[in-house]
Amino acid sequence: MHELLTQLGVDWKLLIAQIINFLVLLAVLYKFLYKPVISLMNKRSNHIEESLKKAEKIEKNLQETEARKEEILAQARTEAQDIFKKAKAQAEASQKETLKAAKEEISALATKAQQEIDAKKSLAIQEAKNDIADLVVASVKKIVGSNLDQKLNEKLITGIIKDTEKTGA
Amino acid sequence: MNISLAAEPLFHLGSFPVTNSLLVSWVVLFLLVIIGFAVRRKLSLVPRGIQNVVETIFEALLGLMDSVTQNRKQSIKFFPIVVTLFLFVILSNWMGLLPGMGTIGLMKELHGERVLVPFIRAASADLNMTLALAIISVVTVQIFGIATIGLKKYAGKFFVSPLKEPYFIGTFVGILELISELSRLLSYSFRLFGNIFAGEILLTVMLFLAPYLVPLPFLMLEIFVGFVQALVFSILTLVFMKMATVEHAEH
Repeated sequence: MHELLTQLGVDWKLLIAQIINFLVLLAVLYKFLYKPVISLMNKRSNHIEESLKKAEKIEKNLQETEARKEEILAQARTEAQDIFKKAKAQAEASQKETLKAAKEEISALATKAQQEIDAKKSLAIQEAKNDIADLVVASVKKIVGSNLDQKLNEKLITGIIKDTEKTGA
Repeated sequence: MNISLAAEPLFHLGSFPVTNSLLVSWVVLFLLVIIGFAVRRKLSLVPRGIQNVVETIFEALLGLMDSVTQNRKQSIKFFPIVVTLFLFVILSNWMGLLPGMGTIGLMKELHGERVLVPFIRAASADLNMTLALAIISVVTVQIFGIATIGLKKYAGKFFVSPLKEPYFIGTFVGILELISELSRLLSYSFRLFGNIFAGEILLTVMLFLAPYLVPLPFLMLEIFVGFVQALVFSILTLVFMKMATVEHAEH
């Protein structure tokens, strides 16, 4: 066995040298190449993954905000419409009321005016009647020239006035 | 023309023979360490230049390893040993293809004969180097196996009690497993050594027979063989590591 190994050139000194050689290489490459490069690659892929997740989250947040905005806007719109409708109804009601009040006032005024006119008219007529009676008495006195009995006089005059009223009416 | 199965010593440091193969493996070590440092210095989160190349290669290798382990975490655990084996073996193989292989060297007195000892001899064309790697590979496989499934379960793969089912067959299979584990030392080392050493002899012979153009296709072939052998060595190590970390199915 020993003879065979020597024939093949196996020398334990060289064998150990080669083993140490390789172990040194392994250690150096592990420390300076594999470990840093692989950890860097992991770090980068983690970084990218995180960034993607963040982007997704931001997108989601944006969508939520957009939806909320839309919702709020819609609510505001309906509210505004409600307010507008209410205001319109109120305005219409108040307008009607005002109109009604105005009409009432006008008609009251008109009635009052009519009454006043009627009163004044009848008063004027009464006065005119008295005036006419006096005038008639005076003119009749002048015409007749003598005073009749006061009672008869008055009776006569009233008869005349009544006649004139009848004809005047 | 001198063909020697063993790597020839160029000089001695005390009683320690510095062979041409050892010299080349030192050069390989040196080159890889320099590359490692160069990459380490320029490492940044945004890759640039050589880092891109290294990361692309690492990513491809991790992908290849994933296809064996089916587990990215385990791939990363096995990564250093497998990739170092690959890099060291492939550079060792290719170093022997540099011009001057088998031709430029020192004239030395060996075994009573005056022969040319070339400076360059593929590091893998030396059984010391391939056996060293085989030992490392086999030992690492055992270490990963024990570390992953525990000493008791791992030993249970090889030492099966003859009193349990399937009785002596189980025991016998266990012993066979143990032998196959140890025989890997031989298969690893002789496969790599044989391929690269044969390639060297082929190229040397071709160079002596027809110095121009004719050796070229063989050179191409040897480049390919160097790559394939490096791949075979590292992937086999990976596969055995994976097998060692899988628990034995209960019968």
